[in-house]
Amino acid sequence: MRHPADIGGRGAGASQGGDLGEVLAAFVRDRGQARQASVVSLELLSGGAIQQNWRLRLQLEGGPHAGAQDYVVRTDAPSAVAASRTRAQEHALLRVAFDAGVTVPQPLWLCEDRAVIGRPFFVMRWVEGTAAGHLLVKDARLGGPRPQLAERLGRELARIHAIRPPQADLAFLGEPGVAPALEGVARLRAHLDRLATPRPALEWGLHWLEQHAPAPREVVLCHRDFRTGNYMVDAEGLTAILDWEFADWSDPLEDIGWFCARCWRFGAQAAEAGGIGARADFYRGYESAAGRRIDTAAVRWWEVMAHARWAVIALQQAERHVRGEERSLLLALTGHIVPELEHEILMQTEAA
Amino acid sequence: MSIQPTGADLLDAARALLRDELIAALPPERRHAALMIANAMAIAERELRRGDGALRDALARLGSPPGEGDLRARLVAANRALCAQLRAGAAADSSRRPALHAHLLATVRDELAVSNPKALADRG
Repeated sequence: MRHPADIGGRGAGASQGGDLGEVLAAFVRDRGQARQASVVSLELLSGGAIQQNWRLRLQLEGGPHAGAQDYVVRTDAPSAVAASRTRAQEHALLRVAFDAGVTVPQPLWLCEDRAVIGRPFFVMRWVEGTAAGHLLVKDARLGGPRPQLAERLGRELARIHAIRPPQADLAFLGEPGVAPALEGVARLRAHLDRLATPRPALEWGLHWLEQHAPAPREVVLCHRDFRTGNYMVDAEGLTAILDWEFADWSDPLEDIGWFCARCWRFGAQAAEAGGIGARADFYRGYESAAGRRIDTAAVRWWEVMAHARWAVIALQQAERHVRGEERSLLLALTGHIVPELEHEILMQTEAA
Repeated sequence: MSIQPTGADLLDAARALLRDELIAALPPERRHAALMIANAMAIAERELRRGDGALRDALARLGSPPGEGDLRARLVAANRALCAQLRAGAAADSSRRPALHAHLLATVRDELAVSNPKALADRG
């Protein structure tokens, strides 16, 4: 584990020899209106290419947060490239979701002052649980009874989709599109055109998607990476929905298609809802919370779209490795997921 | 003629050693990296064993004239042309659609045989 102070910090606190934990404790003390904050532990959780998460355990004295507190500090990795969302934007998304009753880690304090640790960051409550998709799909002890978990995930998704434009705090998302399906196809084509390798199977898929796009209906807040692997569970059930970096205005069926797509079942093909449960349970939870039925035919379209979108992302990731931008075996292997995704697209689009 | 065992054989032997002796001895948090290494070696071995056959088949299906020159470069060029046709709506032509689909499916199945043969077995 890297030394906590080794963050390449350019902020005043960190560069003056101040330990990262102490700097963060002082920040929480001030924003949390405590008299004193002492560091119990600071642990680097995951060093992604774009984000860094630290678990910060503090002992606070005085103020509304007095006692032992368990936080996550989320910040940019030292060598971050342009990310899909800034930390401030992600904080705003979590805030809006939390206020709408979605089960997410409670976001507490955003810091955009780079003088503190050299990068923007926000603090949220620590939540227990595991998100590992492969484990969840194989170990039925995780997440409680599966019909209930699937239904609960459906209800949570409906709550996300109840967040509708305009939202003052989400102005950075820009104007919602009018035809998310066709706009999505156009975006994928633009991405494909920037890639080095031609992929005719994807072109075939995008043509089919364009020809069969369902009529646009509503445009709502979509998570856009709502899948097994991006929510945490404990032994009882769901504890938090994570990874909001792709959230945007879109057709709610996009999220349902992504969650139920074959490519996101981690091999448990029979469990059509995220590899963890039955589609009927997931749909029931969604429909009862949303107060409307799911258009099952349109979801099939969005499942094909899910495969095309994930294939384009996988090609981009492989290309980062090949071009030398980021040499990584994980990125390199991601390219080898593409044939399976294209195979699925071809199997589902044979008819004109 | 190259030294025996071939590159493909070496990868096979190395992967067997990794799998049979090393992975179990690694701390749990390192196992995922070792499994990725094993997977990469398996893909590389299958690619070496496949040779150029699938590339030649794909070029033949695309009607690319047989000739000299780098196979991969010729296939990329042929695929670029096919992508342009598909973007222009070639798949909407009912007289072409079945053959196009059959070609794309055969190509992807050949790729899957290298990248992830288990997926081919699962989905058929």
